[in-house]
Amino acid sequence: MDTKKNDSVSPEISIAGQTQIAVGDPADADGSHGIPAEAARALPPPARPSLAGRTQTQIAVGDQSAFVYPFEPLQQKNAVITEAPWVRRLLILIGLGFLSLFLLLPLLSVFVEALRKGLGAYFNAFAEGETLAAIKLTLIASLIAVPLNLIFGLCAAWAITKFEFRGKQLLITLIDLPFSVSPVVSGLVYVLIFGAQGWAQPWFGDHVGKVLFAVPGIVLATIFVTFPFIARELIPLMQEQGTEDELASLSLGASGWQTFSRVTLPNIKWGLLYGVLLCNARAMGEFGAVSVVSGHIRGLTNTMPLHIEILYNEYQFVGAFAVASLLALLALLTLAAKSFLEWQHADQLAATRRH
Amino acid sequence: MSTAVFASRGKTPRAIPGLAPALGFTILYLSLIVLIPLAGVFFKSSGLGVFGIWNVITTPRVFAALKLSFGAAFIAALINVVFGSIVAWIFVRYTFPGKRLFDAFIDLPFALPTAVAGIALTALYSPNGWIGSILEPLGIKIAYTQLGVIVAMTFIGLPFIVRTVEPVLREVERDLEEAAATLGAWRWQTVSRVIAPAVLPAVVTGFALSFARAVGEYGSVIFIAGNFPSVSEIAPLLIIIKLEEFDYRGATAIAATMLVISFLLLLTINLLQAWARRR
Amino acid sequence: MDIKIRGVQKHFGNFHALRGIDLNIASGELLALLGPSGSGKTTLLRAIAGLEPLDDGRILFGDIDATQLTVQARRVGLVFQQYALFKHMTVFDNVAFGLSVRKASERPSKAAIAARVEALLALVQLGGLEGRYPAQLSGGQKQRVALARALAIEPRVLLLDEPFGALDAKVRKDLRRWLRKLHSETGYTTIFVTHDQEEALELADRVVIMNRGRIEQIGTTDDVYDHPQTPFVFDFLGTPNILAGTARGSHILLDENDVVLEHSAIQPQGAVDVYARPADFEIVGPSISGIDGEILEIQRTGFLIRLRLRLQQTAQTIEIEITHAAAQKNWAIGDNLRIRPLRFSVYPRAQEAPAPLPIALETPGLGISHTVADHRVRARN
Repeated sequence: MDTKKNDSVSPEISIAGQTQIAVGDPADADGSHGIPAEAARALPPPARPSLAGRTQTQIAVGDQSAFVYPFEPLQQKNAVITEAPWVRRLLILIGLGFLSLFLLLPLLSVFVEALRKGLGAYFNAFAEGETLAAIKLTLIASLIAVPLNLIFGLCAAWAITKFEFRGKQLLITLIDLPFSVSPVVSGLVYVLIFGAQGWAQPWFGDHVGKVLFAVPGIVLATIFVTFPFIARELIPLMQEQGTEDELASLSLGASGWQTFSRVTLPNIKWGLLYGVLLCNARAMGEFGAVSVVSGHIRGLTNTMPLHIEILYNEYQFVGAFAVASLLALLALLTLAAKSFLEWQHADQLAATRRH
Repeated sequence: MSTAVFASRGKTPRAIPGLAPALGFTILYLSLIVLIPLAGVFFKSSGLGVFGIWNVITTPRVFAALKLSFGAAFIAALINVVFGSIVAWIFVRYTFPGKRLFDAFIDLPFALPTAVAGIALTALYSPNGWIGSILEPLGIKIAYTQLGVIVAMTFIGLPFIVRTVEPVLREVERDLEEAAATLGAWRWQTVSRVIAPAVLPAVVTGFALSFARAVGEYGSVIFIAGNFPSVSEIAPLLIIIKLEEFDYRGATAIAATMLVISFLLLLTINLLQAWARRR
Repeated sequence: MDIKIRGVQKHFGNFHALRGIDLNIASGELLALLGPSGSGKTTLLRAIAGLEPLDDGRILFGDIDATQLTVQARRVGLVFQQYALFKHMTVFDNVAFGLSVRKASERPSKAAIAARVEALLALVQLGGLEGRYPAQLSGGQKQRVALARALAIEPRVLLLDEPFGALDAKVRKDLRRWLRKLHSETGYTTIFVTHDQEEALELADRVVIMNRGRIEQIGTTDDVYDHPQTPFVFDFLGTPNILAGTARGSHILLDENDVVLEHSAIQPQGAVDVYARPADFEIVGPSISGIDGEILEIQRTGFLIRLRLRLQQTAQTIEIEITHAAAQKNWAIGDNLRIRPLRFSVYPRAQEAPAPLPIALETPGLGISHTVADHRVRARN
């Protein structure tokens, strides 16, 4: 290149609209596609008849930015950070096939089985007194368990995320504990305490009443199993938000309670709502732990999942799947709410990024 | 324990109020609901002694049940590692129709009651079910066999892998992959040598979570398993059977064994996560 | 290896990131791509590396059409702004990566790879740290590992994206000097991207100043600093004072100030803007024509005295820097001074639509005289 370094205007700069530049045809066998711009200037397009017919050689004079070169169309093999299309398609096929087989099909079969004998049979299943009693008990158990776990979740998240203290990691691990305990073992725990030979039963039996094979036992088991849900949802969320908002509010003279209800709560409301929904879904659907403590007394200590088991074992499939379809609807509702909240959240994130 | 928690309460007053009531209630509730009852199990099982527990769990039926629970959970977690990683990959990296819908359904096993999942899977895989009727002529039986146990455990464990791997995979910087490419690595080399090691801790964590959940799983398994003693009978079911026979010692021994193994798993998960954070 | 860039176009959706870039880079040259964020400099660098597919144009490495090569086959040594070191690999494995992923037939033996890695680590002064993980390194050390990793594949060209961007000021200075030395030792054609004009001017053989997807000016440090061809370049390389004026023949009349500046032959006529850096003013006596201003603020630093003046005629506020030697000790706020631009550039008034004709020059007889005869006129969009 004949570039003189101290030439104050670099000759490489092409002057749009003033000079037409034709650079070597990459298809040239002699590899002349690197011919310098200066040389090319001496060869205006009409002097190169081989290029004349190409659509790309036209230079738009009016539009200075449309600076078109007589290049062959680019054939770039630049799949830098993705896979070949067939690999992508295959992976998507495998992934979605697996999800369909293991998630969608079972869900679908719940509704199909429930409606197998028609709508009439479906609704008849709910007319039974025992089914209604099971629904009622399930609602009671979750109405007690969810608010208690909500208060606990808020307290635990507040203490863990807004303060520093020793033993915090241990506390988090202990809160997670019920996740890693088999539901059956959770139920067994209460049997050992409140059962016939249980160490708390003598006192409880005299002063409170029957716990095992009664509603209190079912509520306790439900609380145990759904214990970590809301705390688990809130802790990472509040950790991410830090304490700046709270400190700002307090410095402006708000009381602790005002700060919590008017600053913290609005910040976490969606996460909290999702935690409550998930906790509720699990509370209503809990099977193993409740199965151990309930005693399966029909019409008295049967929750919906337990009732499903009884109906199923008695070959009343439509009834079993009808009750199951209610719980499946609840699950779908929970998932829909979750997705909705996440999409809303994602929109908010995108909005902040746009600024 | 509470003294350790309060030990760092400092000389200067805290800016944010409410530590004492919040932490107080947290610890009280945790103790009443979780810690004291669980301690009760250990108290009870310590009465049995190590040999007592050993004697219970080495009876053929109990041993077979424990072996099935842990073995099937292990295989199910492995299946989930493979397919869960693929699912996480396609959700992070690709776009395809119905992505949001499928994304929402990944959490289905979290939200769907286990008994519902259990009867639905049984209906699907039993010899006259949609899938069972296809597999039956091929000589493959899933419902009422150990395969059924694995299927149910795969169902409930899937979201653990996907939801653990997804965020980590999303965080793998594109820079790393571009750097590997400019250094001459082909795509499969980048995936196996740069991306896979980066998400490995998450995969292991997801595996452990999925495994731990499957070991203790009861509701979704008992319907499809058929519950033949020593063949397709899982440990949690055996606990219930022992309880119904008023064999509290036997039930406690199995429960204690499962608890100890679960705690060890939990410890491993936490160590893994701490190790992953440090890197 | 020399590199030719021809008519490169790149869009990101509606954003036109590169609007026809033409550039020649000589073999062994150290070139800086300088520009504000969004100017397209990083996109151009990534396009050279093959990470951004082009919409149009060609990039040639010597006689090879790199546009048709995959990233893997281009063999460019790209150092990322955040280094992109593989966290789970040791320093040794990071540097060896590019060699170890080669096909068995092209891969050096284990011993040869080890020897090369050792040599490179010695070159970047990191001998002994082979076994460390990236998390255990300082920013400057990571930078040098990234450089060694890029050099390991014997790249056709070394590309550095904001090489000092993530480092603190002290490390940055040392590393800059060291990189210059390394470049002269190894002789790789090197292109680096920066938004720091000081860094570009100090380090590079030539500087390419980019703005909104186009090249504004290419030249040596002296070229771009002394002869900024566009107001953008002048503005980007310093904070100029802009004085309105009218050019007639070889004279410029600074509006409302009756100051006559002389400049030479090729020039814009009519309404012009005179750009002058704060340091390029002198204090003149009452007998010489100049601009009168009142001192608003005096700021003394080590070498310089910085004055803020309000011009009497236009009420415009300008900033000038005077060396201690030229300053008077007893200046006070409110004093009146007469100043005169010593070096300046003249551009047609910005708001005028027709293609403006910028020109850079100095007042003859007052400063060091440069010839302006070979100034080229360049269209500006």
